[in-house]
Amino acid sequence: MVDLPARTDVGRRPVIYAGRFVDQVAGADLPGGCIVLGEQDVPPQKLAGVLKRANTLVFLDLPSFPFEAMTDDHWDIPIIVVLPPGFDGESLTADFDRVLFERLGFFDRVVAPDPALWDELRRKYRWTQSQRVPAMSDHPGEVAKTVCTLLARESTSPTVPKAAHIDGDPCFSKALHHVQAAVLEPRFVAAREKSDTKAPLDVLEVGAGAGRWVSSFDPTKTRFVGIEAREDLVETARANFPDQRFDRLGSGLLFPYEDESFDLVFSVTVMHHHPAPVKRTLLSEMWRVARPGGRLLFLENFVFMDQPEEPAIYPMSVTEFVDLILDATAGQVVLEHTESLRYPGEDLHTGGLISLSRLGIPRTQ
Amino acid sequence: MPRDDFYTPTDIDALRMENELLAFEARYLRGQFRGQLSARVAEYERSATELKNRLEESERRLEESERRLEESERSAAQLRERLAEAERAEQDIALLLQRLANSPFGWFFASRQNFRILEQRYLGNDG
Repeated sequence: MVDLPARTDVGRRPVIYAGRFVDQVAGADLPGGCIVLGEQDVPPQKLAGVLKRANTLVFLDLPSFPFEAMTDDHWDIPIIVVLPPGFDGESLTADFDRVLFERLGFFDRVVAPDPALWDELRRKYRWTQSQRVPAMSDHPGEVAKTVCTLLARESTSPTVPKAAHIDGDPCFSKALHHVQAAVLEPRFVAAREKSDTKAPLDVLEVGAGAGRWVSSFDPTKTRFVGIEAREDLVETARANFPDQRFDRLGSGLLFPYEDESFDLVFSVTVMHHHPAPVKRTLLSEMWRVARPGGRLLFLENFVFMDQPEEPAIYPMSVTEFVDLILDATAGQVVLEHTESLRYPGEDLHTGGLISLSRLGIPRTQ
Repeated sequence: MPRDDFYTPTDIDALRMENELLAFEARYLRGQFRGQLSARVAEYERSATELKNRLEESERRLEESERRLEESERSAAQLRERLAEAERAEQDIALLLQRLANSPFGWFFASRQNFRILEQRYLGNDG
């Protein structure tokens, strides 16, 4: 193991698994702070010890890494995969499909020198355009240098956009996403199963951001639409998912969609950023565009602690939120499911999922 | 707590809000459990009624079978008695035929075809 001296004291550091190329990578002039691992450095106990301090895990030598040594906690670390040269999409899929590629999500990235190969894998695994790290060279030392320089710039310069516009600590964001996905994705599946027609499921995400939930839906069975107030995020989402529709939410907060247009309308940690009148308008609009029998899904924070660094938030307990829903929808909803969430490292259950079914008789068939 | 104003919650507020969140979930789960429980109870009651009906039907069929068995046993005893009587009658006939055949008028009876048939049937004589 080669522990390069850190230029900044950041606590956690990028870990590069260089495998067979450890000598070439150690010889490259990498920015400080990276931990480089060789083939001898990855027995499970030793790997677990190193990964405790990792904020990013880079797979530089994919074929020799012992993926069976990765625990669930390790998969919460943002990953950068360097596609090995000389492999086509078919052989890569055959070797790394379940073991790695299916596990890569919104917070992970892929170094793919070949655009055609990237495009093939991106479509297959629903990766976003912003997850790609272009590389000029196949040489392991050069690739490691590119990745480390990128990570160093991201960690030291707040003006450099992180991958997919992740706010805050990407490690925590990825772990948080996993917790949210564990409660949300079964609800997405339930919405799909409830819709007994073979027509694609019409899904609307309110506050879609850069589109981090788009990959949770099968594009062949779903028509996904995202609406977002921030223009920059709308542009990022469009770049990430060129085949999906993303709209800008205007200041009037009225959705540019017909009544009863969607089978599933959901929002994830959006409401607490808005005061009650805005929440009420958003809820009313969400109810309007949902089809009778369709789902309204909210994953929100209902518990707030003293965090002065947080931007303006408008705390609202679950009872107040439910009262607001009943008010905004004239009680025309039925509670289908609810559960509370405790995020990694938190003592309290702060998140709550509320799934509602919209009542009513469809206006059109 | 004000709804619209910027506001920094205290720890007490956070605990109260968590309590509300967990209580809301507990209410939902209790309601769901109650619904499931009622459905289960209804299902168990239906099963119990079905089982009770089956048990009653089985008991009825058992009684019927027992009654038939008793009748059969009674019939068998009657048949056994009748058989014994018939065997005794057969022995009497055989004895009577022997006496008649050995009497001074035995030659007369032997000349009768019907007597010879009876001898053949009960005494096993061929001729």
